[in-house]
Amino acid sequence: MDLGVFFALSMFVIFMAMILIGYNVAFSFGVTGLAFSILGDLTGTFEPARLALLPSNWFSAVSNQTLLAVPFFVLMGALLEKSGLAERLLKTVGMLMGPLRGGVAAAVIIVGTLLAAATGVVAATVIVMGILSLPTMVRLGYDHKLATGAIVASGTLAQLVPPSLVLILLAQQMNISILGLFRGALLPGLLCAGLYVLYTLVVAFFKPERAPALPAEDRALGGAALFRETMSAVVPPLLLIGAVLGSIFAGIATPSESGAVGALGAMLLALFNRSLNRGMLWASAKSTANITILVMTLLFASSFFSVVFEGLGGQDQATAWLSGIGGGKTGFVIVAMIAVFILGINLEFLEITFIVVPIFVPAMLALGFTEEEFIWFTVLMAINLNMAFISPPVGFSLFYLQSVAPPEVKTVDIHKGAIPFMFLQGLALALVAFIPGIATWLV
Amino acid sequence: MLPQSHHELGEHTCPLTITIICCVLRRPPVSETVADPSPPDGLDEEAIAKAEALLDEDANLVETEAEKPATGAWAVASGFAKGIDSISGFFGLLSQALVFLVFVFGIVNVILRYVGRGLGEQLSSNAWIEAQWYTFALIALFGLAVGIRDGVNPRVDFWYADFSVKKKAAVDLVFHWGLLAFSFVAIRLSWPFVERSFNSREGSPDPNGLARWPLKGVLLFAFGLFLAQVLAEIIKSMLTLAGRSRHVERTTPYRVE
Repeated sequence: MDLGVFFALSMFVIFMAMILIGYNVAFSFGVTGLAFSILGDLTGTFEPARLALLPSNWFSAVSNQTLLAVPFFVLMGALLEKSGLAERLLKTVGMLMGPLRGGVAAAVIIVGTLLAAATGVVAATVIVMGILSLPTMVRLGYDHKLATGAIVASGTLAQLVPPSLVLILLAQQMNISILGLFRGALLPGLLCAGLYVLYTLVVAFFKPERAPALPAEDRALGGAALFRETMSAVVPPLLLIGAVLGSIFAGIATPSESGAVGALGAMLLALFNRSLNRGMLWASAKSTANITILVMTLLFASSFFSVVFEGLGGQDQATAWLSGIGGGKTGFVIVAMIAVFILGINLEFLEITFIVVPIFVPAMLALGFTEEEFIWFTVLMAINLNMAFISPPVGFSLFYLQSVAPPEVKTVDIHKGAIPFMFLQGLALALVAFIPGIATWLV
Repeated sequence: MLPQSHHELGEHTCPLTITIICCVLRRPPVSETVADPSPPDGLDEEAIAKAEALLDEDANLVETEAEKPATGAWAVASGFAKGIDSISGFFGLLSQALVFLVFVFGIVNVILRYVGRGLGEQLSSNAWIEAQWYTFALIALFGLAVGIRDGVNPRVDFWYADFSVKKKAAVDLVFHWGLLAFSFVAIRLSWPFVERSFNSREGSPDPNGLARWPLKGVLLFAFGLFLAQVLAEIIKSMLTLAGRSRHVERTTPYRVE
């Protein structure tokens, strides 16, 4: 093996070791990149002049129109998260669906999907639903595994259903249009939600004791009052989601435009819910700034890493391996999905997006992936990352739910509860893989 | 991933018996409910407060007191680190404030484009469009340094979460030297890039666009501040290792999604 390629591989191994020890992911990129550029220069395997291009890469990162959508959608999500939207939705949809067997769990999934489209914030969705609906389900005698699984799985949809940060970053790294990816991810997201609801209702049908209906005395509102409450709690967020997704799908707005309008809508909704205040606005601005900073720091450092990795010849070697797997595109997709799934057990979406995608892209170009196939593949990755979020024992959504679950709900139940939903995600992954139309039909 | 430990997150002390639907039970009679359009009224306030506390990144701090006072050279170093911390903090606040500005520019651009289209006139201009992404760039660049100070950047906390405060400081101390070199190289690389732009007073390639050179200058400034902050972080990890500083650790995971 060529010395440069050997260095490129060692660079990778050392980077992985550094992040596993717990050093910052972004800074690990920078430090290994720098160390190996020096080593490569000393051994004549890396041409340091390549680094001169970096400042203009950095500058184009901050002037990037794709990433410009990040602050707008994050602001929209942060505002909605703090607007009391989730509480009202859960309450109302719970009452609407309650009479059905398994209805509360189904309501959780439906609300989770709505919040996914509206806020795109996994942690907030899981925590709020965990606090508000898990104790109810426990009290009603729901099977703990089913109840917790429904919460983590639907809360995690926030990163699959557009608009979401995961999709924006994947689009940026894959170099495809955000709007195209948003369009591509909508049906697969709804497919997942549909599978979850179906599963819940099937369980409720065959094992009624695991998912009982809401007793009549728990449904305080009925008839006209319930209708009024539904109109005021459910319709405004639906309008907002409709406006944002509508402008994306109609192709009349750029992502940052839809995001800006969405953030304005979120402010109006918070005003309507009487939760708009200075503290809440400032906190939302803070999370928006933090995520913008985080993404940009990662991008600065990972582009340094990539230049060195490429300069050492690691990229060409990886492309040669990946495109030579055999089976052409199919072979590549299978190997890529397995790799992402395995990485997803320990790493979260950010690392995977920034580590793996830059390696995949040249191989995909070499294999002749079309724009549509890029979108399809990216959607598959997004579903796969969704599994990483709820895969025990380190899935993030599981931690969020553990932190708010009532004491009688055991951690092991939360872990076991996620497994059937992971199978459903796997099923959705397979469906989208075999019927690419689910992802590309709307593109 | 997503840093800090989640193990300690929220020991469940008070069982939350009150929930969406049972709170419905406690609601006032239907007639009143209809009359009262106010939002999460019937919801258990305790539950809401708990959710808010959990979602608040600045809550759930664990403090470790200093073992020994920072004297002599330690005091000087600690003063330097605090100085840098507050400079970065200032630019961090600026970066937060700019979020509102980017939002306003976003809305203005939407209005100009669609109203202009409706009137059949070109109301929008490159100046407005560029102002939007300039502000976005400033949010990221001004915040670069405070990002490291506040631990905004994610870590894989598979094992890290269980490390002691000193072990965590040791991990940072070892690698931050490399990061210091990295920020030096970043400045070194950007210098000619920015210098070229300054010498030619680089403008925008688009008509009516904004001047490019000040923004490129901010890029260099951001790396400079970042370097200073890395130095401050090195000093702070040394102080922690020597047991000479009070240490505050956030136990809530930083949320990206």
